[in-house]
Amino acid sequence: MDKGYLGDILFALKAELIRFRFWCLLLFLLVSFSLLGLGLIWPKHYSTSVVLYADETNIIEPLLKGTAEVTKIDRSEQASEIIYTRSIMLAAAKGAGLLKDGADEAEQDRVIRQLRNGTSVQKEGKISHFMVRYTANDPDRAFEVLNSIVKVFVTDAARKKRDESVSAFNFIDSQVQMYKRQLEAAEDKLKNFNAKNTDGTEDAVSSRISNLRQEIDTIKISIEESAARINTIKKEIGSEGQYLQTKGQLDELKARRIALKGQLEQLLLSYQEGYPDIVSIRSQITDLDSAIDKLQLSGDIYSGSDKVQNPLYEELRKQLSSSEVELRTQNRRMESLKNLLAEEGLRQKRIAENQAQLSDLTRDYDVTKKQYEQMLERKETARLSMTLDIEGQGITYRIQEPASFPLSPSGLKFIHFAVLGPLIGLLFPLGLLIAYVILDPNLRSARILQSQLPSDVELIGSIPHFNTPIGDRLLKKDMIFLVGSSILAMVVYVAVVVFWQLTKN
Amino acid sequence: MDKKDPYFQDNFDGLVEQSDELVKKAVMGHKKLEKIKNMPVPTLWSQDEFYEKKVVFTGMRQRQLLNAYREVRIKLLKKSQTDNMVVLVSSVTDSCVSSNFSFNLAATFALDPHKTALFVDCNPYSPSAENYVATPIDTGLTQYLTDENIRIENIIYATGVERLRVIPSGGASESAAEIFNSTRMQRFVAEIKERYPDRFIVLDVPSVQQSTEARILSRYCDHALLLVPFGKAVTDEVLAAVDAVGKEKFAGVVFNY
Repeated sequence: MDKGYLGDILFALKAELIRFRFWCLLLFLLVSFSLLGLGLIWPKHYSTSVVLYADETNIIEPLLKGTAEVTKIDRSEQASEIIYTRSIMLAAAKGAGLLKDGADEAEQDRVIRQLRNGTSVQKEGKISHFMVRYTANDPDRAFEVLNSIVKVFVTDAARKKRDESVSAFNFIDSQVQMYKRQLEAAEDKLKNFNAKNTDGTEDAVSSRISNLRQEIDTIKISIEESAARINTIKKEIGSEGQYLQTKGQLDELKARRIALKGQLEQLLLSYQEGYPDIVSIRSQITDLDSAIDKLQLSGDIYSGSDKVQNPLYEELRKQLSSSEVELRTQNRRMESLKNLLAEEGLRQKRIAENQAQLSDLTRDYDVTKKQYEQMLERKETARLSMTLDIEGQGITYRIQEPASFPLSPSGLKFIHFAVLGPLIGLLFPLGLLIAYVILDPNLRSARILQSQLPSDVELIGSIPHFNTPIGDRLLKKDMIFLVGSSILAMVVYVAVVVFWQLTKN
Repeated sequence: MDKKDPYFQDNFDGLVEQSDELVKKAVMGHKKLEKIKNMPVPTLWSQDEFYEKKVVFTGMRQRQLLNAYREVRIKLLKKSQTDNMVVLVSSVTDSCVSSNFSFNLAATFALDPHKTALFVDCNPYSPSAENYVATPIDTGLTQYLTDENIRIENIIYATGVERLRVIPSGGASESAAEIFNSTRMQRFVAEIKERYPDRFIVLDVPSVQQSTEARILSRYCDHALLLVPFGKAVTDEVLAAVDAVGKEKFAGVVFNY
């Protein structure tokens, strides 16, 4: 849209304004006075409001501070959901005296709808504050109804909370009792089972078995050892006689003689015959020879008087008998160990069979116990919150700012209409004219005509309007008349406004 | 007719025609000037009368209006080679009457002291000539075309503007289209065209939308102008009117505020 086009539009607007000047004036007066009339009959709305504060005493919040985020709940939303319910509205209507006790359904519906339309709940700054507003045509009624609504809402909220927490506590309590019974039953079962099965644990049995095996192995080795010893001893005994032979005396003498002979020969190597030692040895040898001869002469080599018991044989026999005793003992021990091992094997089998049953019972017991403990904890929490509620703690609604009696009406007032009347009255015909000029397809500009003509059709000229002095004069006269009548109408208008303001308000 | 009217000199033309060509030419040239000079000058309008009748004149306050008409005049003269020209003026829509523009265009041509103009009101439906003629009108164009006895001199009327004459339409006629279609009309246009040298003739015809007169009369003219009124016609109407008049004689459109 270039400047020329805008100029053309303005020119056209001026031309049309001059053309429709009387209509414009008429429309201006009509709109102004209609709005004034509307302002006169506009119903007055009185509204009053209460700021409620959702007082939330939370015992968990300070404990959990910094560790867990406490959910922020929009109290105004919550409250508006409650306030708009039928039961609250009905109670409020009865409290405000809008409904008699015997009113029928249709009447109730009508009054409730009226209340709902007039009521608004909105957030007020922080999330715990909210405002309840009621608007009515009558200040007394607005005040009474709002007070009734707020009263019903606050008491209802408190009662509901108390009821809720008591019933919650009762429920949890009954649950706790049930779990307690279950736990006791599980405990009994486990006790009985343990009393019946005293085999001990699997581990103990297996360690016992391995001990037994080890002992058996050791005894086996000992048995072998003992057997080997008995054999050896038996051999020894076979080779050893029961009595020592006297023959041994002669042999001894002969051996001594040989030894002495050797000694003598040694000495002869270094000394003469006359050397005392040699003489002594020679005499010794002679003595020995005479002894030997004497023995040989006796003839009986093995004389009975020489017969003595062999000590070695005795010793060997002693050893043999003790070894045999030992071997027998070991064999007996081995047997009894084997019996024990077999017994332990049986016991192990039994324990394995019982294990499944035991773990089943234990699991039952554990689960029930855990549940019971949890419930017990919850029960304590519930008891606490119930106590809080009964003592009026927890979330309660307090009146932060009580309702004030509405002294002046809210919303659009008469003076607004009075001010807006001439303004809209002035703009309305102008707007209509602008729309007319822009939307009307009739040509109002030589420039536009030229732009829309095909190139072979020439715009030869553009003839301005002929302004004759008499025409100018007439127009001037008309304008004076129009402006004069407008001023006159506005004087009347202002007079009506001032009169109404002074007398009716 | 008692007075010595310069129009009687026409009777002497017959004598001159007999003489030599050169002499004739010289005499003709002299006569042209004589004729214009000797045109009877009726009582001219005062300024107030000009304003009252919405007619342009030199020295008017609204100079841009006069200049706009002069602009149209210049453009028309540029298109035309001859001194004499017949311009047809019609309006695009019924709601606009083109007579004021036509008369003003004629008046603009008559501003030149060497030229004369003739405003022919061919709109029998809404005659406008009596507005511009001082003397009472008894016969007009339709009477002239239907009645053989009426002479051209009798239907030409003087106006309050110098060098500008008017032929009124002569009142409503049922068969205007047929009358304009006649050969007498053709002869009439030729005659008035040659009657004065440097004569500028404006045929003011009814709107194209309303009737067929514009189409019929466009045959007799040299140039056709279409008047587009302010806020009363849409582009399609303008284009339809241009088609109706015919492209060959069409000079252009004039936007009238």
